[in-house]
Amino acid sequence: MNKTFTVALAGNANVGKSVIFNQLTGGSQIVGNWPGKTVEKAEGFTEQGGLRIRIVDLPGIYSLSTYSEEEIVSREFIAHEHPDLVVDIIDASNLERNLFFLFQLMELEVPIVVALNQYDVVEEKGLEIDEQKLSELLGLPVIKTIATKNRGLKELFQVIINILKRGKNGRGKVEYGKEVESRIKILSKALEQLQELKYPKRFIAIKLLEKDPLMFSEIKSTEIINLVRILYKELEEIHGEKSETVIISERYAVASRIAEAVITKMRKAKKDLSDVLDKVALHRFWGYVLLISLVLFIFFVVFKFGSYLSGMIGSLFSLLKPYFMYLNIPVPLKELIWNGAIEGIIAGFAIVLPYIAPFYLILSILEDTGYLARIAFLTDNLMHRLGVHGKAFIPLIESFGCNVPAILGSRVMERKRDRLIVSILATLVPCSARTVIIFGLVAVFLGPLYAILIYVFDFILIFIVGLLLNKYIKGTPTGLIMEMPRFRKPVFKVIFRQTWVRLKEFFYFAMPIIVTANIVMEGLILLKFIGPITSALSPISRFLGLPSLATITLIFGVLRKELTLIMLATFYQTTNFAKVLTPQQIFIFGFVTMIYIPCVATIAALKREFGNLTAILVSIGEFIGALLLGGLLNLLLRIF
Amino acid sequence: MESKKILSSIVQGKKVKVVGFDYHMGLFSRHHHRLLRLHEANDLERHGVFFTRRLQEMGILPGEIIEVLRNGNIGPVEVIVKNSHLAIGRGIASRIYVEEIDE
Ligand SMILES: Nc1nc2c(ncn2[C@@H]2O[C@H](COP(=O)(O)OP(=O)(O)OP(=O)(O)O)[C@@H](O)[C@H]2O)c(=O)[nH]1
Ligand SMILES: [Mg+2]
Repeated sequence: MNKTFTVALAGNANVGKSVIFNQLTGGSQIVGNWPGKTVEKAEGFTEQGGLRIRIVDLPGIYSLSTYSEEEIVSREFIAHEHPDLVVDIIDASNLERNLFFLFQLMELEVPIVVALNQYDVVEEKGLEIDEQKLSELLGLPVIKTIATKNRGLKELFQVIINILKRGKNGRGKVEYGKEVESRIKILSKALEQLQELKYPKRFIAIKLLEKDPLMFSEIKSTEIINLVRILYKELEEIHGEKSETVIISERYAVASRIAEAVITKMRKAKKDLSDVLDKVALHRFWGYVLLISLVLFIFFVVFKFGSYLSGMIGSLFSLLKPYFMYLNIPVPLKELIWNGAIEGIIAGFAIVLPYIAPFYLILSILEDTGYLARIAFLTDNLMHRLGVHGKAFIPLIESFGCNVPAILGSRVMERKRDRLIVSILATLVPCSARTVIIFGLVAVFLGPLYAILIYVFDFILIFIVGLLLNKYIKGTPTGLIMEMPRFRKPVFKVIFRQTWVRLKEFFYFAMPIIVTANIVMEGLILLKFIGPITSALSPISRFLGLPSLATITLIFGVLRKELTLIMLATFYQTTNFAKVLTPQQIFIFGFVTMIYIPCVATIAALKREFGNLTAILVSIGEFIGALLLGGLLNLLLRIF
Repeated sequence: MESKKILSSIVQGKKVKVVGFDYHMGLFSRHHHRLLRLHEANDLERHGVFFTRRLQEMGILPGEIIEVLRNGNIGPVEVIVKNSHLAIGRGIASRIYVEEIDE
């Protein structure tokens, strides 16, 4: 077997690493227009030019210091797992800040190839970058690419393969000012006496002068630490700034010099619509009007489209039933197959799919345009009341699709405390499964206004829980620092791919669960087990004012929330729920399923990120909370 | 020489020069009114370092000229630095010292 080469994709946030990763490996990494989507390294394989290559997509970072988890993930991977090659993906329209990162990568002394991505944006600005010259100045190969149009990737890959085959590549070098360089030299020399350094000496020396906390804790020699102290104090005296500021400034000075040398203005820039759009989207009054109208618009589009489609698919399937019933098989088996398996599949297609498909499509469009970052901007002030900053709103919106990626995505927050708050709030956000219940049950049978009312109740609940969490979880709130991506025309290929990735999850993961659970349930009915279960649950049913059959579905709902509605249909042999539930019951059922417990996948995600205790506490807390609120709602609805 | 101002007080449309940061008080949220406990004070100190560091890595460096693109009375401040847009929460923006420059 041939050797498998490892190629890492590194670079700043939101430059196009995951688009390139998906193109090269056929992977399904989340892509969107805001910084910080990829939070964990992901890998995929490809065979090119007779080589087997493992490609690793790393989280986007701005620096190789160790102030955030993503930075540590990327730095450790590059330094310790020794990829054969690192491709630094650069946003060519933002050259200085991207070179700032590249220089640190070069200090790690790994073989590097530079991809000048988003080159279309450079051209729109009327600029040109001399890749030849850039390559000479850096001492590294440079290739222009436009990832979304699949341009330049072939050339990029050719260069990668050539380097892997040859087994060597220039590593480039950056020189800083005299005062800094001389101190780096002294320090590197002193480092020679230490054994088994984890990083190149120059890198360590620079990071020590930058006062990188992790590096300080890794160097055990007090002699060296004392030397570092002397050296950085000298630097601070010469420049009158903190030594980290001195080094960052020097790095940026080199970056500006190079950027200036390679960029030329060719023609007038095309008018950039992004700034014009922002005048409305970020306006302190119209911005909110736009946000609320957009939310309502999405609500009605998904509802109208979904209920129309749902009716159509439902009646299509019901045409099948007479044919099936003609078949010559024993009646109990026939019921098990039809009511259990087939009704389950039908429900998946007729009740669930019509709502989640348009919803996912709209979510992907929002993600790719860059509007999510605007929402983070607009809600920053509000979110501070919950002890987190505006970026927290991005995972919360993702959560409308599914809570699980939202809990992972909470890593856009810099600190553990913020991540915990955001993740707990995310479990209360109605994901697409719950949307199905609200739309398919509440909106269809009570009217859209009642559905909105349930949402409003839920948002108030989230806000209150947020206030409480902020008050009782130790730690202090932090502020927002976020690069605002430009608005972009959504790329349809990217959007459809993303929608499909999410839908696939539904077909491959949710459908089997739905069908299996439905068969189990039908079996329980046939074996007459339902009676004892209902009587055991009757206190809860009475407390919530729900029929006991509906309460049973709540148990299965822990697996997947849509199951509650699907089973209701199986139980009552109808999708006309108005016949079997009173309007009050529909409302209470909708509200309780929305919040009563996170589904198993969400509980597992909580456990993975925060440990058993958090997962258990959140589940129990939400269960009790939902029961109490549901009971209260029942009481109120009875009185009025 | 003009006097030192804080970034959050600059009217939108103006260009300013960054002169420094408030390193010691890392109190970055405006809605944080209660008294600090000891461990929180340490926490803040560390995060003060973290945020000033992150700002500098994004190009908000002493001497840098930045343009205030958006600044309402509430919400974050949006600035243009090194040709790209950066949103900075109000609490943090009130700990960045700047000087107005004449054009
Ligand atoms: N115009 C243009 N847009 C691009 C190009 N490459 C990527 N994009 C867009 O840039 C955005 C970010 O792409 P991603 O691949 O998600 O970026 P990333 O580097 O993985 O970002 P993080 O995971 O957040 O670090 C998406 O909206 C892409 O559609 C390009 O060459 N031209
Ligand atoms: Mg990514």
